[in-house]
Amino acid sequence: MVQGRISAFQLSILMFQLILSSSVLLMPSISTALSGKDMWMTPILSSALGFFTIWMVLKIHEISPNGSFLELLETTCGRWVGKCFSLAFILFQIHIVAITIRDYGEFIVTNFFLKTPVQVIIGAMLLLCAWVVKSGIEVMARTGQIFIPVITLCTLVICILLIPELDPTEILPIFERGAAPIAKGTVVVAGWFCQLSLILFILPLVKDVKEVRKWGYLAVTGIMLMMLIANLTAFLLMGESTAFFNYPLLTASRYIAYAEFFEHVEAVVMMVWVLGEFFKISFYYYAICKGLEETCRVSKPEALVLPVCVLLFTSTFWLAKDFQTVGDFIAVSGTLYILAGNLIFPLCIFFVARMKLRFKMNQT
Amino acid sequence: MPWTTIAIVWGTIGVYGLVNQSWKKHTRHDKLLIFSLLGLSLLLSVCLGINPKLPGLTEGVNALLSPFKSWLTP
Repeated sequence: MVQGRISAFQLSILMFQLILSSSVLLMPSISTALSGKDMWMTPILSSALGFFTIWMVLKIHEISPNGSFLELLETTCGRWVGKCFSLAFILFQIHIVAITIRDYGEFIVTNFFLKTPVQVIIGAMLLLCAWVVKSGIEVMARTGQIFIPVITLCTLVICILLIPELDPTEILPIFERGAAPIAKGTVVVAGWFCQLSLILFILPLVKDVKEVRKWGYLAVTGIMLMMLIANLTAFLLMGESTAFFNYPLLTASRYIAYAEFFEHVEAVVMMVWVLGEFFKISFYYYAICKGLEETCRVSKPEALVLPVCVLLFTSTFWLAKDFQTVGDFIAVSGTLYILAGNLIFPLCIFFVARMKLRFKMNQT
Repeated sequence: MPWTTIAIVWGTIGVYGLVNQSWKKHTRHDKLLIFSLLGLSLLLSVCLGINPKLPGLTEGVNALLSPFKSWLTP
């Protein structure tokens, strides 16, 4: 793993795709099931948690030794308890990325490559991600700078081409079912925003950390706008039946047909999904390797890349056996689990570390 | 996981390890970690081959958080 450094702008581009890659395709269905006609408000409200997560991550970075959250765990909780917490945090990230990888594989296999074994799809993606991770964070960031604007543009073009099919009256009446359904949808979408805490692993590699606040907030704003556009496009096209589709934007793209020539745009959706998930999985993969490197004090981090690749491949089939398991997890406990691991845990460590620091300062 | 997949994956890893022997140049500590990760993956693969429905962390988390399921249902 080449140890490069990236700029705050490059980190913000990676953050942007980290959240949007799965949320644009999955979120409209989930938020419609919970919030009904008011599902379009959920990204706006939950972006507050996105801003809070960026603030929290920067505060943790300020008090961490060498900017490393895992070193902060050791100084706060003691060496061995800290290492156990570090390994648990890394295992949590492995669990989340296993669900993500399985979701990616199932989407490709059920919609496009019906006869290809899912192991081939997942294995191919993991090998590609291993190559990028071994090349280093700089390569990942520069690849992102080239491809993420393309992904964003393609998503926007799909939404723009659907404008003639949209019915603005679908979202009326507003606040039909009150605030409780909107709150539930907001909490679920907030589960996506709190994944921004993954940048705790990457902040020590950022050259201009002082700029991360500005670019982080801009990334959250961009994520919120894209989610709003995707939600509105799906809902204004399909109404409340959006809840019954696993991938509403894919279904929506099948409505695009101009002059019997510009058709089958779902291939573009597949490209957006594959590229987007490539960046998300690579980011998680890099964070896991970085976490193991810091926890286990590895002298040559590139040694971990292929073993972690094999571990992720096997974990995907253990932790996410099939699409039914993934769907049940997301429906039952996924949001609370992700919020607990990505938000509540780092926040608790931050408060304990701050109290210890203050106690030490009072004593001296 | 089918046994053919397990055989292909681990066969490929074995052949790669024999062809590219750069892993021998790592320190003892790093080799211990590499082989621990590989050993854990092998154990998981074999267990999944014996029982494809092997219970995992997902089922445990679902069971632990199922009392809160009603908080986020329509």
